[in-house]
Amino acid sequence: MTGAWWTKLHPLTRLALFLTVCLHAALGREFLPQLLLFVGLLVLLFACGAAGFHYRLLIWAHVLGLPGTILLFIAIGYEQTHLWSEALAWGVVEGARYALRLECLFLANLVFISITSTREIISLFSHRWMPTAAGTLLSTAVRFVPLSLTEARRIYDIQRCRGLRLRPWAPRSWLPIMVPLFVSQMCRAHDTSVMLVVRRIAPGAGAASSRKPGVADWFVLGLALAICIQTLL
Amino acid sequence: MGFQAAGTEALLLEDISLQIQAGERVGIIGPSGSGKTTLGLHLAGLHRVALLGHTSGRLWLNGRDCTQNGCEGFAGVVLQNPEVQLFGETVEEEVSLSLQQRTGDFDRERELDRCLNPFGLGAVHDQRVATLSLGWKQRLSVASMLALDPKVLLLDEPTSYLDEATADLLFDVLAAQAERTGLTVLLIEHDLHRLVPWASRLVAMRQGRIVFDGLPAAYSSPSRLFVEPADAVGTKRSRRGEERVLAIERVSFGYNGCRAVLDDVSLSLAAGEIVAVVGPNGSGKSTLLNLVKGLLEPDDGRIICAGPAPRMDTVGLVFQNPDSQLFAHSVFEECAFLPRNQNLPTQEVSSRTRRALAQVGLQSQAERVPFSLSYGEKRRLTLASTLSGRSTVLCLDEPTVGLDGDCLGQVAGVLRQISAEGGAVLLATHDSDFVKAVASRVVTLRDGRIVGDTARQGDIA
Repeated sequence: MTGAWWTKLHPLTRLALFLTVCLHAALGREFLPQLLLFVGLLVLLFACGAAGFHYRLLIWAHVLGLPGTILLFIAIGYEQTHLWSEALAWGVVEGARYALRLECLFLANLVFISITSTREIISLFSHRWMPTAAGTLLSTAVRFVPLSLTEARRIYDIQRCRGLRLRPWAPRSWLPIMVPLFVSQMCRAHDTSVMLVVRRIAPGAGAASSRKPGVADWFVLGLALAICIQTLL
Repeated sequence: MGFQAAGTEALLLEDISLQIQAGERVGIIGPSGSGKTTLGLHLAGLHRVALLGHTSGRLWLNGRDCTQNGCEGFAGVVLQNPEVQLFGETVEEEVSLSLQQRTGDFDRERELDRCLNPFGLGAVHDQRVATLSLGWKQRLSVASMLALDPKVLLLDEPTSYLDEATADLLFDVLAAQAERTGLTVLLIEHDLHRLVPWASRLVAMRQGRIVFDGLPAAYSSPSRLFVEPADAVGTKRSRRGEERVLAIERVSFGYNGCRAVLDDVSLSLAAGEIVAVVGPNGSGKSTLLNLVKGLLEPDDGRIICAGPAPRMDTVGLVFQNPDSQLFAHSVFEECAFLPRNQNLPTQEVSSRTRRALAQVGLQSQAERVPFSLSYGEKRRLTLASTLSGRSTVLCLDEPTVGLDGDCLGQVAGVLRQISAEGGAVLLATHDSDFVKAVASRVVTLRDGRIVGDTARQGDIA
């Protein structure tokens, strides 16, 4: 994937696109553009080779989360209208839309991480005007979901060796993955933050920040800005 | 100096008095939980960043009082787990990232070669970091740290994932660097046979206190392994003859269809055997264990276990990091997880669990919360939680990493007991002392092929 068009974009452009997609996913009101965005991100996820375990986990999260989300929205609808028919109609649509938003955010994160190297991410958040701690926090936060998924897979394999059988309808069966995942991610975050300090990964680091954006970057940035304005208006 | 962790009464460091001169090569030793890492982080000026708690007394680093504020950037640090230390995409990029942080005039290309080549990283300079084995990642993390040109370097058990030759190489490189640049090295390590001839000074710790500080030659310690060699104890192998419990037949495997990690590997284990798989980093040891367990399927060849039960039940696999598997609210429940999942009757689950805990010396800790155990106890618990199942073949991946002599002795005892009861053990390790102590047979892997398979006689190559 080194020759793909997205790898030629400036990391800042990729970040701007990522934020635009997040903004649109979070605030967009139309269902169809959201659906198209979801499909587009899914295609991109496959195209950049990031699908696989991440994707399967996404499907599970979607399947598991959707009924619960819709039920929650139906309950909210009933609380407001006290009419089951209206609550059902409103809850199904809004619940599905809400789930779609979450999936878009999740997919956008995976795509951004898989097309942007760790070093580029760190350099993006490392500028003279940004405190090192804030830059470190942001770069760690952006990488959190994909790193967690990789770690979840490793833990899943370990627990499989101990006879774990995951039952999607039994939340208790997920504990042997969720608890060690939480502990291990906390330890990892701690060690990584110490190492970022030790490695002096600080303002101005990395080649990405010294690279100048090209014509394609300006075009994409303009497009992203237009989408942001349209979404906000 | 002393250090009290937040939220506890216990002192992790107590009455520490130490003065280290520039250019010294200090080895810090002691059992698990004795405070080695806590002391090391203080000496590196990272206690404010890496530890939660209160430092008492006075800590002077480079002529500055750093007791309360620490001294970030004073020292380079290499942690035990290389996974958290690497931030670049490729090997070269990783080292370049460090070089970019350096100030002053230097020839970047020459420095890059100087950092990469001693560890053999020049040949893989364009390889993606994610595709490297743990051993190669550890080499890279040391090289990246040396590229920062620190005046002080702290290494916390850096040889845990390194093969014998690379561990020797690491000590040589550190000695050469200290000689050339006056680097002060603080090295936390369990393995004394390499440390003693290398260090100019040895600091031994126990329960947060320094119990020895002086020339390595003056330090008299019991051997690292408090166990008799395998030959003295003997195994059941001879009595049980060739009752085969596991057969690996012409197995080949490559990740995602890429270069073969294992190529035409054949191996069989008889009841009572303890087989050590040794070999350099990336030779395919862990992959072989994962294939035997059934976590991976071979591209070619087959793996057969004696008995009608599926391989997932017949083979037990113990992983290195206990924090990746502990989840239950008590030690007993953690240990009972496997036999319950194997649908054994409640009575049998209980008896197997109690027996497994007794085997590793944790029977009195059955009601404790697993997360409150020390690292050594957690490692023993992960072993017990595999022993409690009905497996006849036990696989262990680097069982000695991070364990002190007492814990190693217990693990060795458990393996011998399994062997004596007719089970078979397959362990992947770099630790030649442990191999000498427990293995009845040594299989050497190199580039995915078996290049040696001998009943243990004397030292391994």
